[in-house]
Formats: sequence, structure tokens, C-alpha cells
Amino acid sequence: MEMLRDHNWMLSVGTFLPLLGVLLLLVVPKANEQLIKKVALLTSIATVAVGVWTLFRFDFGNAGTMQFVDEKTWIPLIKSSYYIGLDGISLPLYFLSMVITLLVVIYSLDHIPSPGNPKAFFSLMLVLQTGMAGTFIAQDLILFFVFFELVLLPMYFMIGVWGGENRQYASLKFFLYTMFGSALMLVAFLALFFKTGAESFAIPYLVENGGALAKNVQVWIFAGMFIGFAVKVPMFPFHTWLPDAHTQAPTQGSVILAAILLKLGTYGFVRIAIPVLPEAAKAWAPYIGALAVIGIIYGALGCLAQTDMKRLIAFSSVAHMGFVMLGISTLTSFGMTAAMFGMVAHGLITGMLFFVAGSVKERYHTLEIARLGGILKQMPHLGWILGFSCMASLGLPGLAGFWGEFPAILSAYSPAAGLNETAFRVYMVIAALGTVLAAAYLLWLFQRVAFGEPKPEFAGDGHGHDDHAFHDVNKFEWFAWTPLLIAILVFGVVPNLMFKVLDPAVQVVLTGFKG
Amino acid sequence: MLGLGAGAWLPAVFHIFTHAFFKACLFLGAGSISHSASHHSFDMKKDMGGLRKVMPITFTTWIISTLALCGVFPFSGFFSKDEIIDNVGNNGYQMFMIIGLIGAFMTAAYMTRATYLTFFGEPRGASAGEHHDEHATAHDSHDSHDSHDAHDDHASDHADHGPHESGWRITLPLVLLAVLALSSGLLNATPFGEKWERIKTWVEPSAEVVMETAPGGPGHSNVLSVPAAGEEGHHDSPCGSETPEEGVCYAPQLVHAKFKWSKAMLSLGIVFLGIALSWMVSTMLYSRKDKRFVGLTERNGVLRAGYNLLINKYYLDAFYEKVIVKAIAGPIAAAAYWFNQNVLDGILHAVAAVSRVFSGWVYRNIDQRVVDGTVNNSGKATKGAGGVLAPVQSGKVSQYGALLFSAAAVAALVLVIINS
Amino acid sequence: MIHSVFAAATEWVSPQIDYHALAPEIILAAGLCIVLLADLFLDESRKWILSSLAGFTLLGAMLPVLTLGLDESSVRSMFDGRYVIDEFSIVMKAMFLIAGYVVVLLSTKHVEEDEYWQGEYWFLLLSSILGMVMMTSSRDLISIFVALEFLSIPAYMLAAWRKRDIKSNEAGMKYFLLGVFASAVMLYGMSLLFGAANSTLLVDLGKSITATGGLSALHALGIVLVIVGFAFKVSAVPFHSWAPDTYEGAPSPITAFLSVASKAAGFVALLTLLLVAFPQASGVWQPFMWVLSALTMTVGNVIALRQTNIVRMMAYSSISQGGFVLMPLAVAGMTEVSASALRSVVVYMLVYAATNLGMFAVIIAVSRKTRSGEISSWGGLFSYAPGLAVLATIFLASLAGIPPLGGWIGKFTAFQSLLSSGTGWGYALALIGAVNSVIAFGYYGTIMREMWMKPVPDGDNTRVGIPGSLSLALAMTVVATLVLGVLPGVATHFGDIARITGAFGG
Repeated sequence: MEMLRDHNWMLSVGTFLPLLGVLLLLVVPKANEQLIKKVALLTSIATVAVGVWTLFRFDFGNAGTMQFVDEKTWIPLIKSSYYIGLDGISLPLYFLSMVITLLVVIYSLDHIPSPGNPKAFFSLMLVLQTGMAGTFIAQDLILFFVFFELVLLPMYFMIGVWGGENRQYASLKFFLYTMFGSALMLVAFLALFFKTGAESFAIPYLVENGGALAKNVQVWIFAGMFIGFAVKVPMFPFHTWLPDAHTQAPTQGSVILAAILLKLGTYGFVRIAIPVLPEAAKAWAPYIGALAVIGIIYGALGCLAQTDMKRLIAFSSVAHMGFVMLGISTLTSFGMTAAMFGMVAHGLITGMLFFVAGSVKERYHTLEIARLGGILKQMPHLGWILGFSCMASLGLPGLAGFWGEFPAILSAYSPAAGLNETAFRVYMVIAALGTVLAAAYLLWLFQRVAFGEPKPEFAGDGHGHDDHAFHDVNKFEWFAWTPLLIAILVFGVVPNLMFKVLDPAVQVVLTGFKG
Repeated sequence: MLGLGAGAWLPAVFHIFTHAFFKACLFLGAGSISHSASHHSFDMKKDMGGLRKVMPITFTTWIISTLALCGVFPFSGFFSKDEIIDNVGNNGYQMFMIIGLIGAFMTAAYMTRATYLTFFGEPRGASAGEHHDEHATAHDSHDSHDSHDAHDDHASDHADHGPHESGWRITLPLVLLAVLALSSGLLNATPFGEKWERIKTWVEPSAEVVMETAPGGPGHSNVLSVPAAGEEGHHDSPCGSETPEEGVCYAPQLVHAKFKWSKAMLSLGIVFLGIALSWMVSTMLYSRKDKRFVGLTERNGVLRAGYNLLINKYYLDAFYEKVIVKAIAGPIAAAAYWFNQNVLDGILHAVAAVSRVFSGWVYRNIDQRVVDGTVNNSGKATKGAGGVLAPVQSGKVSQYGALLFSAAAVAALVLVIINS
Repeated sequence: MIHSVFAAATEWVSPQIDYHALAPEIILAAGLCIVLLADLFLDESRKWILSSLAGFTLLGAMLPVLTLGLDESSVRSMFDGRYVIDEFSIVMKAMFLIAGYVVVLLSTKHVEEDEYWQGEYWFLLLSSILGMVMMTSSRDLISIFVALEFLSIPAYMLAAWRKRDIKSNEAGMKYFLLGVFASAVMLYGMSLLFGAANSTLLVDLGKSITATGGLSALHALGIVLVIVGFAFKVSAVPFHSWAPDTYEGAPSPITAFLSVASKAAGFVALLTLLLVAFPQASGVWQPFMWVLSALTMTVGNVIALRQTNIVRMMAYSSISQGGFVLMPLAVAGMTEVSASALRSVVVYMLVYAATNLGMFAVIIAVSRKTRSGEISSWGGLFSYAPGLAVLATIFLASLAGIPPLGGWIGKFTAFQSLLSSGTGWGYALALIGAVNSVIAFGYYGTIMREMWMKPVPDGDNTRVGIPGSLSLALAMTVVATLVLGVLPGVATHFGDIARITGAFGG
């Protein structure tokens, strides 16, 4: 496979720069919070700067080709190497992870959740960033696995230490679920390694040789990977950790979880499971599709039953990732490109929704929908941002969400050759119904919390002295949110910005299906 | 919708296009009336009537759009609507053509009635300057829904003035839309010949010709990847009206009906019939209060049922709202969530609980029962043993030892048997 | 038979002794004599010198190990192949010496402050380490047995070191009695093997199986009984019952020593026995190892979930870790797997030694303040001793096998070698292992939760004073844990694994 190897230091620097920040943070005394915040902010700005530079150097004409490829020996004993690269599929997610981290850091400058301790909080966040970015550039299964797992502990602590009332339960559930999935995934990786001749863990090598495996072997290996990735996505019925984790996590944790962590699973499908095991992918696709549409409807129904705003948003992730998985399960370039777009869009939009939820919680000290109301009246900016995000989330054309959802549904009309067309058309219809439900729960949410009069308990007596309690969006929030809002709009209006990067890479991923 | 369903794509699209203008104009007109004349009421029977004199611009534009909607020549609706009905018949859906014609008749009838009630006759209710009670409440709820509009001013405004023509900000768009409603039909004026069919060249489906030796291979997603404009492979070979030389066209073949004045006259006639009949009934019902019509729905059971069905919009909304939405938002969602919390999480928790219980059992019975048994028997066992050794000689060790030896024995036995 | 023994005796010639190869053992022996003697001439206030002496002895013994490691020459074999210095033994010797040094660091303050008999403590510790170092080179039933007793008997005494503490006495006594039972069983097995092979040399045992045209019941019985002896040493279920009680009662540094070094010595013996003596008898020990491994990790894990005392929990954790080490042995009889199985056991033990010693160092440091072994006493550690909490988290995560900390490479190589067998049994055990590694997080997570997410139980937020020696131990172990995790190549590179396996003759 053709590869571009120039500027190969860039990815390593971009990935490990946050760890440098962590080392710096370790020597800053705990009491000096200003300095801690500065170090964290500068580190993440520097990381994004490297990311922007990567964007500039990225050869968009060759988006299907691995770029900035670097390969160093790492663990020769198990034939695993430090092998990294970036193509059109990785690039948006890689860059998104950097941007989200920066925005979350900016947001945290003003919003360190209880019980404080910014030093630990920022350190974990930066470690998390390394893990996320690393997962998206790893071209070696073992390296991928290490980065994949690297995000576990920081997130566990982020939920468990800075989370809500039920944080310990939620964090442990999150951890055990993911760990269970990744243990099976690791077994699958190893089985794949041995079945392909125990030569290498490099993904390109496995893509070349995985297709030759017997079908039943592929199906079993795929099963292991499926569980690992499906837990992370999360797909029905492996999703029950998600609402708890999201609800209990601090705002920052929820944002990162929704925006990036869930994508590790879907990315795994696109990058590893499907190209390496094409036969198994075909065999599994109808089931994945079925679970995806069940997830869509199920997530939406779950949303309708919620009384807590954050939990509702969390459940909506189940539905949205269902669309993504539906797109992937068609095994067509169209569906998969849509899915990749949907991943980024969901990251932007749901991240934004969680930000808003966090700010609502900060001001009202509750997210109980029944107790909220009239946000538009008390804080028009916040209210409209919420409205904007809800519209984006329900897939309003012109905003980013639409381009993930609509083409994904459309792609189910004609799945890849060899898949059961009828089944997928049924999925398409059900998924389309799901969009109606999505509109229902999001608009219902928006209507209940933003319209009407504020509830008496929050209305305040007279508008004079009570106003400061409900200050509208502050400058940190504006700084953190504006990029997301702009991105949602820009990708909604010019989706081709991303489609043209994704499509060539997806074509490469699907080469195994052409022959 | 009828047009699309019956394969009359072009007229359908065209109709959507013209429809936009006259429908927008009608809505705007209605808004203008409610804003300036009837105190935000849309009740034609109660709050309107005779407005043609006070609101001339609104009236004129309304009439133009109404005629366009009814499909009267030469308004835009004529060209588009008529084409649909023509094409529907032409494409072999005779039944639907008749239904379409009936629809056109009904349209003409209800629009005439609405026009009559609004603009003719005597001013009633709010348009006559009355302030009834409902107005206040309606106004309140309206206000609370609309936070960015300074409605208080308006309220005091028309409380003083009564019905009047709206300001230019409302009438200007009305006029523009009316002009478009009048003229946009000419963009695809089939009756005037091919040269006028400009829309056709713009909107004919331009599906890609897919080169494929064996036709009918769905499962190739690139067939549908066209809509993302600007993608590669988007070329300008539409298979609209012509059959492509080779390859398969995934858009259906389109055959357009030739325009015939005879058919157009038929539908025009039907429309005029509708207008005339409706006018007659309206005048009799609302102006002259003809005994034969007034209160007919109260007297005749069948008619009353029909009336109720209509006034409740066929109960469809009620069905949607009461049955589907309630069910989904209520029990179905709750059930799904219950499933999530109790079944899926239940399984998880059960696994956790079982392993906890299991580990407790193992700990108590396998690991520690030895201990418990020991404590009970320790009295006997410690007799004669040194004090220091008491906790050790308690029998615990002997049981541990027994475990060790017996496990060794069992393992030896089994493995020797297996291997010989 | 007797005649042949006599015949051999008459032809006695002094064997060639390679002093370079024996240097580590010689230095250790000399060092322990010096410690014992010095103890006689030092008054109580200057006993601390002994710990330094012990430490220097261990470091001194490292020197020849290093030179041996750097020496590229072939395997050094003495006494007709009964005592062999190969790459495997060099790596393991280095591990025992360094682990011993860390134990010395852990013990220094502990022993000083508890007013125990210091001289004997260091003497016994060095003796036990000497036994372990000898074990790595033993390739004969007799020398294995001698080494085993050499390392065990001082350990029995060390476990009962706090002689006024009834629990410590109980610990030592139980360990001793059960150890003796196990030794008896093993010795019985050895005698059967000798009867079958007419030799105690491991290589001859293997030859006798092929020579007699296959496995006899005598062989099978002997092999099983010998394995039982070492299964006791590595506290494999169902031979584990001594471990929790002993670990809980023994002084903490000794618990660390037992759970790491003594257990590793058991594995070393198991490896040499299985791969050198009985590769042909894999039909006997593979299923045995499979069952032992599955039972050990499952039972260890499941019971650990219920523990409230941290040392007891670490005891069960150590049992289940032993199960993971045993995993590859369940398929190690296959010729194409044995190399990777050996490698995996070695790597796992290295990582486990670093991590577990580190965890015990944290436990010792924390209990200096809390004076309690209950997990609940760890509440809020992060708030008053963030450094210790982070270290503990690193060690626990490593034990749980979370990348990129050391533990994962151990687990990974174990899985890898299991799956490389390609058999259904291998896959089944790998799945059991995968599930177990998830369960394990349940209790490791409990401690993490306690440290990070719970309030301080008594509200006492004074800092934890960490003596210098303990800090050094913590630094050594944490660096080892991180480096082994991030760059596992280091662990697998400094001893060329290919040659380690070469040493065993395939």
C-alpha cells in the first residue's frame, strides 16, 4: 500500500504533547491554581496548533492514503511496532479530539466541578487526550489496544471523583463494561494474529491477509471484536453503562465521552473489524443493522421516558449511534461515509448539548425537566443555544446532524451486494421513523425547559436583585461553545468539506468488498 | 402528492413551485386580516365579513391567489394543476384523474366560501369593532408565546382604530406574491408550446446513467450517491425524457401528456361550477339565511355526523395525539425504559449479585467453613496442646492438610487413569 | 542399583567448578555469614548497619550476575549438568536479587521500629534468597529439593517473626506445617521418579520416559506429586489455603517477599521440571495445569472480591495472579508453544514482581499512618497523600492489566502463548482468563475508589511520612512498572529469550 512518510514526527508530537503538559503539571504545586490552569490551557492550545499544522500539511488530494506514516520497532517480541499514520477517516476524529479537549479545558477554567483539585482534573484530561488521539492514529492492533485502554482509567476517575451522587456505581459500571469488551477484543486480536500467520499486528498487513481466512474463523474473530467495539459505541443491548456514566459524569466528562470516546468503537469497526474481516462483516452486517435500528427506536423511546435532561441527552446518544451503526452496517461507501460524518456531527452536537446541560445544572442546580422552564426568558442566549443544538441533533437540514442521519438512512435502501436488501429496507423505514421520534423528544425537551414561564422556585422575587443568580452565557462559555456552534453550522451548510476527506479513505477501507 | 404518486414528476414539481407563491400569499393575507382587522382571530364566521372595503390590497391579492389556487386560467395554478390532472389521466390512472377533478371542484367551493365569509357580507365580531371576551384570553396566550414582539402597542392600536388596511410591510410582500402567483405559471406554460416549458429543462430528473451490463442490480450504493452534489461522477447526462443509449436509468421513464384544451376546459368548467355553486349556497346560508339551509346539520343526522367528522379534521389529529403520541410518549417509552432499567441492567445486576453471592458462598463454605468448624471443635482439639499453638492446632491446619493431600490424590488418580 | 552408586563413588573426581558462574551464590553465602557474625559484635543501637550489609550483599551478588549476562559465551554447565547457568537462570537470579533488595528496603524501618531480632532477620532473608538463586540453576531433583528447602525453611521462620503476635505465630506455623506436607508429597513423587528413571538428573527423567516406550503409571504418579509440591509453593488452588492466613499474619515486608520471590521460585522450579524433565509427559501435566490455572484465577478472584482487609485481599489477588502465570503452561507441552510459554512466564513474573512489591511498599507506607489493615482505612488517601494514591493506582492498574502499565504485557504474552496453541482448550482458558481479568478489576477498583472517591474516615489529614528507604523502593518499582509497560521490549530484550529456551534444549 502506498504511503506518505514525510513529516512523520508530527503525529507523535501531537499525540504525546499533552503528556508533556501532565509532566509539567506534576511539578506545579497544587495550591497554585492559576498556574495549573495556564499550563493546561497552553498545552491544549499547543496541541491544537500541532493539529492545525497537521491539517495544513495533510495532502487532501490523497485523503485515501496513509500520511505522516511512522514505523518504529516497539515490542519485537510480540511482533508489534510503533506504527502510526493518518488518513481521511482518522483526520476528522483526530483533530476533533484535540479541539474538544481544548474547548473542555477552556470551559473548565471557570467550571471545575466539586471537589475541585484542578491539578488532578487537568492531568487526567490531558492523559485522556493522548489516549484518544493515539487511538485514531494507531496502525498496529496492539498500539491501538494500548491507547484504547489508556482512556479508561482517566475517565473512570473523572466520573468517580468529580461526578454526581451516584458516581461510584456509574464509574465502576463504565469501567467493567468496557474492560469486559476489550478483554474479548484482545483475545480476538490475538486469534487474528495467529490465524494470519503470526507475522505482524500491523493493520495494513492484516487487511491484506485477513480476507483469506475461512469464513467461520472470521465470524468468530469478528464476534470478539464486535463485543469490544459495540460496548464502546454503545450498541443495544450493551448500552446500559452509557446513561449512567453520562448522567453522573461531570460536564467535561460527558462532553468528552459523547464527543470522542463513543467514536472509538465505531472507528474500530471502520478501521479494523470490517476491512480486515470482510466475509465476517457481510455475515454480521444484517445483525448489526438490526441492533442499530433497535438502538434507534429504543434510544428514542428511552429519551421520551426521561425526566432528567442530561439522561435524556445521554439516551439520545444511543439513538444517534444507531444511525451511525446502520450506515456502517450497509458496508457501502455511501453508508460508511455518512456514518463517519455522523460520528463527527454527533460529537459536535451532543458535546454541545452536554455543555448546555452542564451550564443549566450549574445555574438551576437541577436537571429535572419538570422543574425547569422558561430558560428563554431568563437566559435567552443559553435558551437559543439549546434550541440550536436540539435542532441540530434532531437532524434539521442545514445543520451538521442532518448529513449524518439522512444519508445513513438512505444508504440502507441499497446495501452492499450480498446483503439482504429487504431486511435493510425495513431497517430504513424503521430508522426513518426514528427521526420522527428524535424530533419528538428533542422538541418536547426544548419546549418544556425553554418555553413558558420559569417555575416559581426559580422565578425569583422581583427582577431586581435576583438576576445575578441566572447570568446568561459567560465569556468562558462563549469561548468554549462558539467553535462548536460554528462548526455545526458550517458542516451543515457545506458538508462536502468533510465528505471529500472521508470518501476516498472509505473507498480504500472497502476495497475488500469490490472484488 | 398526487402528481408524484402518479408519475407526473414535472407537473408535480412545477405545482409545488407555483403553489409556494399563491399559498404563501393566502397565508399572508389571512395574517394581514387577523393582524389588522380581527384582533388576531381567525374565525371567519365570528370575526370577519365585509372586509373588501377596508382592506382593498389584501382583498385583491387574496382574490388573485384564490383564483390561482383554484386553477383558473391564466393564473399560475392553472398551468401546474391542470397539468397534473392531465398527466395523471395520461399515465393510466383514470380513477385518480376523476378524484383530482373532484378535488379541484371542492377547492373551488371552499375557497369561494371563505372569500365570501371574509370579504363580503356585513362586518361581524371583531371586524365590526367589537371586543369580545375571548379576545383578551387569546391575546394573553399569544403574547406569552411570543417573547420578542411588542404586542402591547398593537393591542392599544387597534383597540382604537378597528379594522383597517395593513401597513406596507405586510402589503408589499402580498403584492409581490400575488404578482408571482399570477405570472409564475408562464414559466412552464404548456399550452403555449414547447418554448414555454422552461421549468421542464430545469427540473427534469437528472439521474445518472449507470453503466451496467446486467441491469437491476440494486445493492450498488453509488446509484444513490448522486444527491451529494459536487461529488465525483456527477455528470450531465440526464435520463429524463429520453432513454439512455446503454446502461440503466434509475429514474423512471417519463412520458408527458400532450396538452389538450378540451381537457383544460373540462377542469376549468368544473372549477367554475364549484365557484358558482359555493357562491350560491354561501349567499343563501349567510346573507339571506335561507331556512332550507340554516341549521341543516342540526336537523339531519347524517349531515351532522359528516360535519363533526370534518370539524374534527377526520379525527386524525385526535388519533395521532391521543393514541399514537400518548402511547409512544407514555406506556411504550416507559416500557422500553423499564426494560432498560430492569431487564438489561437487571441482567447485569443479577450477574453482579450472583457473583457476589457465589463469592460469599465460596468464601464461607470452602474457604472459611473450615474456620468455623474449627472454632466449634477447637475445645476438643486444643486439649493438651501448647498455648502458643492453640490457633494453629485448632484443626484448621489438619483440614487444610486434608485438602492438600486429597487434592493431590484425586489429581494423581485422574491423571494416571487418563494417561494409561 | 546400589552397586552403580558405589561404582560412581569409586570413580569420584573433583568436579570442575566455574567460579565465575558460582560467584553470585558465593557472594551471598559470604554475605550472610558476615551478617550473622556482625550481629554478634554490634550493640542494639547500631544494628541498622546490618540492613545496609544485607543490601550491599545483594547488590554485590548482582555484579557477577551482570558480568555473566554480558558474557556471550555458551551455557555454563557444572556437575554433569546438574547445575546450569543459562540465560534463563541469569534473568531469574537478577530478579530474585533485585526483589530481595527491594524487600530489604521495605524491611529496614519496619524491623528497626518493631524491635525484633535484627541480625537473624537479615540472615534468614539472605538465606532464603540464596535458596532462590540456587533454584534457578538446579537441573536435578536433589539440587531442586535442596534449593527448595533452603528457601522455604528461613521463610517459615520469617513468617512467624513477630513472635509476641499470635497471628504471626499462627502464620508461621501454618506455613510450616503445610509446607512440610507439600514437601513430603513432593519428595514421595521424586522417589517414584527416581525409581522409574534410575537417575535424579532432569534430562535423564525425560529420556527414561522415551526409553521405556511411553508413560508408565509410575511416571504419571511421580510427576503429579512433584507438581503438587510446587503448586503449593505458588499457592495454586486447591493448594492455596495457607496463603491468606500466612500473608495476613506475617510482617508486611515478608508478605511481600513471600508473595513475590517465594512464589516466583516455585514457578522457576515448575518451569524447569515441566520443560526440561517432562516435555514428553505433557499429557499428564497439561490438563493438570489447565485445571489448576482456571481454578486458581477464578477462586482467587472471586474470594478477593469479598475481602475487607487489604493484605488478605492482596493475598487472594496474588493467588489469582498465579493463575494467570500458570495459563500458558496448560499448553506449554506443544513444541511450538513451549518457547513462548516460557517467555510469558518469565515476563509475567518480572512484571508481577515489580508491581506487587510496589503495592506492598504503598501498603507499608500507608499503614505507618493508619495503623490498620482495613481497606476502609484507605479512604480519602488521595486528599492527604496524593503521591501515594497515584502510585497505588498505578500498581493496582498494572495488576489489573490495564495498558500501558506493566501488568498488561504479562497478561498479553500469556494470552498470546495460549492462543498460539490454536487448540480449543487454549481458547477456552483464554476466555476464562479474559473474564477473570475483568472480575479482578472489581476489587482493585474497590481500593482505587476508596482512595479517590471516599472521605477520610477519621478526618486525620496529616501527611504520611515515608522513610528514605521506602521511597527508594517505591521509585524503583514504579519506574520498573511503567517502563515494562510502555517499552516491554526492555523486559524481553535484556535476556535473549531465544537463548533462554535454547538452554532448555528446546
